Amino acid sequence: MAEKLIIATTMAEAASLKNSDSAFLAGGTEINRLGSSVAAATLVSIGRIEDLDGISIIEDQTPACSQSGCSKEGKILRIGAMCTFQDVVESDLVPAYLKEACRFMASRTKRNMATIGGNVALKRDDSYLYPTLLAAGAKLQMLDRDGNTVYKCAKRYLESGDLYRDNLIVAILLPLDAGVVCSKRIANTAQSHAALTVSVGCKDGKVRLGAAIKNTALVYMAELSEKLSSCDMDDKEILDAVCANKSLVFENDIFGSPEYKRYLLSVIISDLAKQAKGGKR
Amino acid sequence: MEANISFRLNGEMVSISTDPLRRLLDVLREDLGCIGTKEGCSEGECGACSILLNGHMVTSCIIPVGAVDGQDVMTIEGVSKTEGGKIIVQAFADGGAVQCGFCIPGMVIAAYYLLSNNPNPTEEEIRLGISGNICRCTGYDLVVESIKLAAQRGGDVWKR
Repeated sequence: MAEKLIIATTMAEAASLKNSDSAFLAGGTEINRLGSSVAAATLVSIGRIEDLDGISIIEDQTPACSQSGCSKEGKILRIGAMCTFQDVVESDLVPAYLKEACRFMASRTKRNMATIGGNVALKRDDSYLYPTLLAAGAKLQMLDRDGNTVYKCAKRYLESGDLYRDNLIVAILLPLDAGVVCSKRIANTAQSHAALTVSVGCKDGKVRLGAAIKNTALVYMAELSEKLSSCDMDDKEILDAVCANKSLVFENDIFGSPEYKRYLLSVIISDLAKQAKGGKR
Repeated sequence: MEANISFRLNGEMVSISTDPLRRLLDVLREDLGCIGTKEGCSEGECGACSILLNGHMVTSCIIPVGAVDGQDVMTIEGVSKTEGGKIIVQAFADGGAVQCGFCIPGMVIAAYYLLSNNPNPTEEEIRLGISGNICRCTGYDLVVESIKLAAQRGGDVWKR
């Protein structure tokens, strides 16, 4: 239960206030809800920092990341971390695949509040956006406590655990041409938590595959991405690859049995990979 | 720890001294008498506590009151006194939209927000417009029809 609320007015102030006992308060749809997964003694509200708003096309100032295979682009799409899901849906600059991912949040009221940066920072295993950002090769612009700007691709940010937990996410950066990105969300109802959200991107033959599997993981599926980049795989081969991935431990829970989830994940990957590699959204 | 918080509520400035981490919903209901705003899920999902914050529909159960300092808040009490709000309330009554009534303040806010931004919505747009409002009586069809009626009756009111 939070005991203190600080309303930050600059990015530097907000970043300097973040520590293990504090949490950034963005849209508040997670942190303030009953049963929230976030616990912090101090909330640092970042809702009044104008630099965190806005959607625009800018020159790419991010470094190339050879480890993740992220290239440097000429121009990129910058989405301020405090942009709401509805801001993204309404923007003329945002590609259709990202609008679709934002619409996975079915409630218009919630889309008016929930922010892009907040959803990314949570790294939830039922994330609306993260699989799509992984498939699109998105990068994050952050500010650390000392005021240094840090760029990380979404894949590295995901895999880094808590390393960048105290950094303020400033913006999401997307290549203007991310190739074809296709996503699918499986849930009992539009309002329910997703059992699965899968996204496959394909650009110049290179496949990127991100998945949010409830009670299992939010993951960039690197091996399968490589295999799909190098050859076509049928449903059975994809299912075998999913079953062989020992890092994915599927729970038997209200969302389904492990066998059901593996099957569902593999057939969705198969369908989306065919679409993405075939150039169809 | 208390703080002085001021905001515009239904067109009037209000100032209170309270814990800034209290939910806006609780402050509206317990301190400011706006009991039309209901508490449903407390998770920001059901829309019973919907209000307009700076003209945008949001759920007041997940907003700390400290975050609305200096902002503009409109509740069902304010909306129902506007020309458009009166049209919606009458349309809901005439259209039989109200069963148990618990979700209706949120539904009226959603309808007001929708029609203020889109005076002639299609049925699909209406259903999307109330996508953040859950009715446990499942009486959505009559709500949708009543919003259509409000759109027709409002005419130019929604185009201002």
